[in-house]
Amino acid sequence: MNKSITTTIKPNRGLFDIQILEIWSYRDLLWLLIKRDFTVFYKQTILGPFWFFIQPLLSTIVFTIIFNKVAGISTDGTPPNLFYMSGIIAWNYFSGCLSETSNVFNRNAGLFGKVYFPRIVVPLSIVISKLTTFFVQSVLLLILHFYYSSNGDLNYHFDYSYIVLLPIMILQMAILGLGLGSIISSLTVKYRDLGFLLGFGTQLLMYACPIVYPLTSVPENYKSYIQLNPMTPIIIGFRKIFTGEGQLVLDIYLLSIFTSVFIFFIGLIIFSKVEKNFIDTI
Amino acid sequence: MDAIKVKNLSKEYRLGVISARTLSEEITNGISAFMNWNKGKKKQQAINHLNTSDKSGKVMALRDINFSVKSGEILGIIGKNGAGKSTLLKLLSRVTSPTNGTVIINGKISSLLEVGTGFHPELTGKENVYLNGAILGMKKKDIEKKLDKIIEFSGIKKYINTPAKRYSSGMRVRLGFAVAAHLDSDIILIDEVLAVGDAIFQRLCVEKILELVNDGRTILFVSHNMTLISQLCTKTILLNKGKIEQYGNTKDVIRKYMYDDFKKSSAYKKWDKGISNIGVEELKILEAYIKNNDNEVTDALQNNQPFKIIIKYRLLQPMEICHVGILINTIEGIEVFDGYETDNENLCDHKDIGIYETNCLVPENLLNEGKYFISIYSGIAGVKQFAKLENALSFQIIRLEDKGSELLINRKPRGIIRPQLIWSREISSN
Repeated sequence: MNKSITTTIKPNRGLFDIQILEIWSYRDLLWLLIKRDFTVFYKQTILGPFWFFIQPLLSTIVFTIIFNKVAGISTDGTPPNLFYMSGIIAWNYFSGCLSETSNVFNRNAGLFGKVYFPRIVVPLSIVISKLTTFFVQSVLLLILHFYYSSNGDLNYHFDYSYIVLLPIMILQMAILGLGLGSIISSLTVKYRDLGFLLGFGTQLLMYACPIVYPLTSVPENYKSYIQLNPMTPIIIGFRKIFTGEGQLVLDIYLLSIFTSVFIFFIGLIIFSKVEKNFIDTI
Repeated sequence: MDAIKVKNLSKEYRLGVISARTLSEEITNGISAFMNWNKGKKKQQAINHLNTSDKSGKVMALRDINFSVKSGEILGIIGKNGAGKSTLLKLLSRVTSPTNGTVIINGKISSLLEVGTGFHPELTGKENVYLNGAILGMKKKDIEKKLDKIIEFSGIKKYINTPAKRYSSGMRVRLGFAVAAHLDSDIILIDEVLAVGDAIFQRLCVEKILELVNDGRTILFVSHNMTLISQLCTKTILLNKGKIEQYGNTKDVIRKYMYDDFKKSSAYKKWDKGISNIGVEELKILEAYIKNNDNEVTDALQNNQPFKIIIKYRLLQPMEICHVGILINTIEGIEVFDGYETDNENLCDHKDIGIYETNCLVPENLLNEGKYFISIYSGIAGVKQFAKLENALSFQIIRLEDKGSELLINRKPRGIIRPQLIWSREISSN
């Protein structure tokens, strides 16, 4: 028996009310949710893990044809396939986190309405399970990278500092997706239309990132806006690891880190505010 | 020690409008709230006060609830639909938070608001046990330890590695309850879970609950089933319109609850358009009444006289085997007996469209003196329910010609039934 545990239930008033210890005590649930996502994905599809590859491969081919061959947008001297794929894979992780977490309340209303557990566990599990996809797809990128460097198509001067940045950038994408997703998820509880907006919103947002074009080809007067996007330095840095091209400016990158952390905390605050009573409104 | 202490607990809901609110309306509200806030707190308080009125679309689901539950106690919660029972459990299980007041809970609490919640159709039974256990707050190693017991209890060992989507709803409920029953919580909230499953499973559940009680767990039990409440609970709360109407000894509380119903009920009911469950178009109950031996409609019946229960219904569709029947309850909620017209083999025949009148003769010397309810049921056994009219009619049994014992003992006979026993005596020796 655990008589020592005392819980006090009070009206929801605090601004920032997240119990880290409580989330930690639900770590088994977190792990089982990640495992569930993985198992279900395998059980429902015939091609299984091949889907991880098919999506970035097809997108890369389409992007190469349309943006490089037809529209003639430069890729800064790097092989177009590698250029697009590195952008797509990083963007996929972020947008995947965003679109899945932004649906948390509506999709789990049935469950949340009956059992209590720290709701943040669900979006957390999403962000972690998406990581598997991200790593598997990165292997594809690595293969492509070695193919081009052995061919001599890649003018590669490797900078190790970017490898150190990689885990930071992944974490940054995770908290950015989680934060933004939490904000949208909390708002869609009240305004369902936001859910529809998100669908094409993320698509449009992709064009505000240097994914289908290099930052160098952006006209100067637009450049600063593109650089405000916290995803921009992440895409550039991630691409730099695989292609060796691109320039990451320190203060722009620090701004991106700051923005990500800021959005993450705003997301947490709104999420913790909404999670306590959302079941009354949904 | 108190396991749960509830102090001045209130919960307010906004009615429906919230989802339909537009963004502009929200912004306007926000601005006006900000202006009022600027104008000082007093005005804000006035507005808050205004908002509690019914006109603003707000409703108090719970109002100033105070009670405490001792550790190891089993507390029943009863009341009409919308009285606030489920809201109370939701607040205690932290699914939603209160508008006012506090709850102090000593020990680990978990709720069985609905068993099998969170079952994923693609996962196997075993995988679902793990997931469900974790959702309910169990540690993985605890689930591992109890896995065999859980599977054993669920009685679906053979199918434990089959995806849950292939399970019947009964199997899902069994497995769900099995997980929930093995939680190591000190306090367990139960909301109508026993309404599902077959009779054997229900008995299993009741036994399990009693086992939990003997184990020292504290249980809060919400149910409409008065028989179960009176069997399981020592103390009971009667909620009415979000307030505690009565709190105390289960028997007294149930009697009070049922007596309120009794006052509204009567020996004659008529539904002009017919009544049935929502969406049922096959059969409508039109009229129901009780007649005494002299063919008068009355709710005062004598124990030594037979009486009749008559149900008039319209069949809108030809039907092979459908039934109409009754269930008699005491005012304490104890089921006395049920019966269906199809108990008579001759009435199991094909019925065409039309209006029927079913007659049930209840023999004399059956029920003891007291107040009773008649519920009316109709449907096709195991297929569909057409109508369920709980406590539709009520009557009283009055004891008149039972002089012998009354003269000698002058008391109300004990028990629910009062059969006429045949006593005899002879001297065996002197």
